Amino acid sequence: MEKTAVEKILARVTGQAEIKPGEIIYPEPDTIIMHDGHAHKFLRELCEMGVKDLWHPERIMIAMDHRVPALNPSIAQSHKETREYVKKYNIGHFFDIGDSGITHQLQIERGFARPGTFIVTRDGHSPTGGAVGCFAISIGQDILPYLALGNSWLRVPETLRMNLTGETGPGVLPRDVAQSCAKLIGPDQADNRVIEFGGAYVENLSIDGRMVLCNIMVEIDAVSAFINPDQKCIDYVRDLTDQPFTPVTSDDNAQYAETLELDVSTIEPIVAAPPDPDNVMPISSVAGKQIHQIFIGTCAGGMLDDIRAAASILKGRRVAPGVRALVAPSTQRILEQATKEGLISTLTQAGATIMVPGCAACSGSTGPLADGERCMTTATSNKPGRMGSKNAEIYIANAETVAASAVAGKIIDPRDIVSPS
Amino acid sequence: MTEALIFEGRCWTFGDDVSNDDGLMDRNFFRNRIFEPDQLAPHVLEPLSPAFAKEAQPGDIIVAGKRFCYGNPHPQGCIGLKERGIAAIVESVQNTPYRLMVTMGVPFLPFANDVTKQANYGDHVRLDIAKGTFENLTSGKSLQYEPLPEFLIAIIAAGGSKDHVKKRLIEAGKIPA
Repeated sequence: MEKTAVEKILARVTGQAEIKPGEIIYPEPDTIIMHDGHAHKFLRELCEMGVKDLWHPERIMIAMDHRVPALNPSIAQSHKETREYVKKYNIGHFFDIGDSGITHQLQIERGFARPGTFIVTRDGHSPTGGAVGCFAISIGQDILPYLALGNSWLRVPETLRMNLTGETGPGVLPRDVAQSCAKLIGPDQADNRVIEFGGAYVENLSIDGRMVLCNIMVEIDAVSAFINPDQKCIDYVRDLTDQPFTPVTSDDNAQYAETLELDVSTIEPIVAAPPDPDNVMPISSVAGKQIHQIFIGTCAGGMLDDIRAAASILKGRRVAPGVRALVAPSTQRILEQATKEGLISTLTQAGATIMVPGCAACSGSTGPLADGERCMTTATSNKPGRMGSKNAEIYIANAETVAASAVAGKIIDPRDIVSPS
Repeated sequence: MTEALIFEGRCWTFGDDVSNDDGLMDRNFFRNRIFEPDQLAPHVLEPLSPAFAKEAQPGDIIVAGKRFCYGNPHPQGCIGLKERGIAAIVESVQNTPYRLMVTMGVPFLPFANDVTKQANYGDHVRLDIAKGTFENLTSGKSLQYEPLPEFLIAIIAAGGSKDHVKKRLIEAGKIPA
């Protein structure tokens, strides 16, 4: 029978010939990923049980990304504990502050997410790895059995095929397409499904852009997202790692639970207004609202493409008085590359504050919002309370829109700056 | 909660979209990294129903609509719910909270179509998680749903993923009994 790529990957990691949606399986991951927000807690739990050896410590990756550098002595203590457990359990891959970044980008950048691989993480946005043909899922709190025994249960998801055709217009970036897909698919159609993207738009998209598409599907609670690895993807991954991989793609007549089409030329620059990331609307409907902070960063919007887009707007301009402009490259390497390209000095000259690579303001741990404040961001979520006060408003948009709004001091259509009339 | 995962008590009804953060539990408990069951238990569902938080008793049953516990899979709400000894029967639960509830050992029965139409607040109800049976002892109606897969029932019966892993590790001879 014709199969989807995800079904083929799951067949490999369970040793089963046939995998059917809905079935409970027990797959063994190629990599298990944790971060500083929880790694110490899970490893302590296993240590307290008396576990001496982990299943495959060389398959475990831990990165410091959430609360870096430590914000208070209690967090510093948890970081210390993480480093101690890394040694105790011979964890194979540990990325400490200064050589780290958000796990969801790092899994690709450091060669863990490769075409055909299967990754489990505690944190939610790992489906970003689908950009390079990796089936990456979040298993939430259920990471202990993977660490100790190498498997846990998984309900085999169905696959929804999302075909994207056409070319985007001015001011429209992959983020607008991703949010529009989230709105079109919605949580009910995404439930227990993998979203497989394809079509001419995706073929022409950069890997950064593909990461955005896959990442945002988490916000409608898709199990994961996936893009069949093409030559562009294979070349990209080969540049990053010497580790072997076998690309896996969906068969031409694979059975999809549903197939949706979207012509991206119909998409305008959008915002996702509170309270949910799929509350997507044209920017014109909220234009003019005063803002107090912008934040460009996170696993959904801190890639090199995003930093470049922000810098293209802020070059030679100034952030408006009364607006705090925060920028956090997703990883240390992105920060290094952005520095090489002169993007960081462009941003700082415009009045932006560069934050430590990592999740930064996305979880509200640094740069939180006060009551009544409004923020424009490329971050993952706009749920009330996500960045500090529950009485603050978060609007999601692409990096150009966010940067343009920083200059204007209010929400504006990026095309007003990109192509002034 | 009994070994057999059978619950009997008062029915507490909720509609669709009971969120995890700020529904099942105030998000600040996650923010403050509180994991202690005794600290979380008194606050279960407090944002939506202070009466539930105060009055619900072990054996009571939540009857809720679609997308129960949706949102970021922070464990605080489930830790509190389990500590209270309360079960849930819901019309639907999305993939992430489905996994979260199993992992945290919350006794629940998902995909119970139209169950919210079969029970009212205050009814005396009975739920057998392993068999998938829901009885409204006030109205006399009995409903049969598909139970969770056996492996998942075993995790819930063990008290959640952590206790189940412990059991598996002992069985594998990797840690002492």
